[in-house]
Amino acid sequence: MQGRLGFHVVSLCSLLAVSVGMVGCGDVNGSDPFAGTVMFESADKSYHVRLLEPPWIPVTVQGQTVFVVPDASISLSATSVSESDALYSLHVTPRPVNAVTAFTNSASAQTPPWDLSTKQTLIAIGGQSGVDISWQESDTVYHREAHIDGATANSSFELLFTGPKPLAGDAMILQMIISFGPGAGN
Amino acid sequence: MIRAAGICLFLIGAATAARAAAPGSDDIDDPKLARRLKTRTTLPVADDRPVVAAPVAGTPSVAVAPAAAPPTAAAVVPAIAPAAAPAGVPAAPVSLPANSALAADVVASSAPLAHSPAPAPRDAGKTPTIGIGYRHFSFVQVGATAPGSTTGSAASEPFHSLSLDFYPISRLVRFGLSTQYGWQGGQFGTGNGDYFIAQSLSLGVQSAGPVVTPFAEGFAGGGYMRRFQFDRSVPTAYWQLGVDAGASFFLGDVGYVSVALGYLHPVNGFVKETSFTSVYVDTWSLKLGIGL
Repeated sequence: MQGRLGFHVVSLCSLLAVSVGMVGCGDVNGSDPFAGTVMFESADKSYHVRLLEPPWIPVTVQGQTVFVVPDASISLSATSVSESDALYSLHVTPRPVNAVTAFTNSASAQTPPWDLSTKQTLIAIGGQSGVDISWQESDTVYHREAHIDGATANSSFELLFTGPKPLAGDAMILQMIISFGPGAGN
Repeated sequence: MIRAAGICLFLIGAATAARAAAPGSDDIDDPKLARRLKTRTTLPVADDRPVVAAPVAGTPSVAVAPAAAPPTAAAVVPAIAPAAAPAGVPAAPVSLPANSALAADVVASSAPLAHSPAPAPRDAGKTPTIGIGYRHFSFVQVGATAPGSTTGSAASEPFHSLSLDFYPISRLVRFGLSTQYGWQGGQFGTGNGDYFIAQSLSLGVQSAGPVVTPFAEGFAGGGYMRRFQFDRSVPTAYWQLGVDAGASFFLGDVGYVSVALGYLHPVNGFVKETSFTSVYVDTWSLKLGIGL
């Protein structure tokens, strides 16, 4: 009886040892910043952003990189995607003023004007300040626009997200925004 | 080797039990002697105590004198169902051994003799065989950050899961199969959340008790996880390792409820650009179960 018990105890301990040994199984600790995402750096190294790729796919349109999530008719493994296939999209545009000024300029150009009470200030992971706001353009078109300071006092970037659902509280878009930062080429 | 030995022991035990339970197991080969003795049974006799067979309606009780009594015919009450005995064939008195006999033969000539009281149910411990489990744990929502976070850490993603647990081996050691479906908290049935389907194997030990059976087990398994990211279903892999420690509480013959605290290592594997990567967490989990 003791022999059998010993055998079982040894078996269980072996299993536990294997389990403990496999605790490291997996590449990235989920508590690490931006776990599982891809760092994208622009061709001119003026900025970088983290995104899930897929479903995000960077495409080049007239020399500018646009990020899109293709709609359901396009495979996520597709190598050729156009902006017209986008379910979600992100345009990154450099501005020659700081983030607050760029935000103000953008707000004054909107028709109808934004509800500025919904704007939010943010701090990106690299310490840059920013402002973002969300609004609805139509029944199936929603936007979220963030302005983040660049590497110099008179530079910033505009991040314009477009999607079919409200984007204000989207935690995935928030991660992309705070992961954004100016690059060495800015 | 041990399993083979266990199977042999089981077969031997089963054969012995079947033999003991067979109605004719005490048959006497000699027909003449059999007619004289009719029913014969064996009762255990404790030292220095009288053995009393439980009375059965319609049959006289049988008392056996203390073992210390003189080995005479009086040792057996002579009124042992003489009515049913064939005429002219007296009941055969059987005397006990002179001292501390371990067994006494009681002879009756009528139909079923009042045997010894039915043995008490074996106080064997109870172990689970099949059940349904509910587990709660927290994973991470890859690609998402909780509002207000400035660190970029992935947002916590609570998961609930239901499992069908089957234990083909459930003795001191228990080996289980668990088919599990888990869903993102708050997204059940919406079609907009993450979920997974996984098959796991478990191996552990338990101490079977009549009411409470504590256990500890390790488990490992894997399956499919659907990630819902930007309105797209992204197929990914899911696997997990973990240990559970808890107890099953048996409610008579109805079944059991169980509770276990676990330490879980869920992993989500997926394609990142063109390579495969995986994200894991280490987290506590709570599992509740019911079953038979």
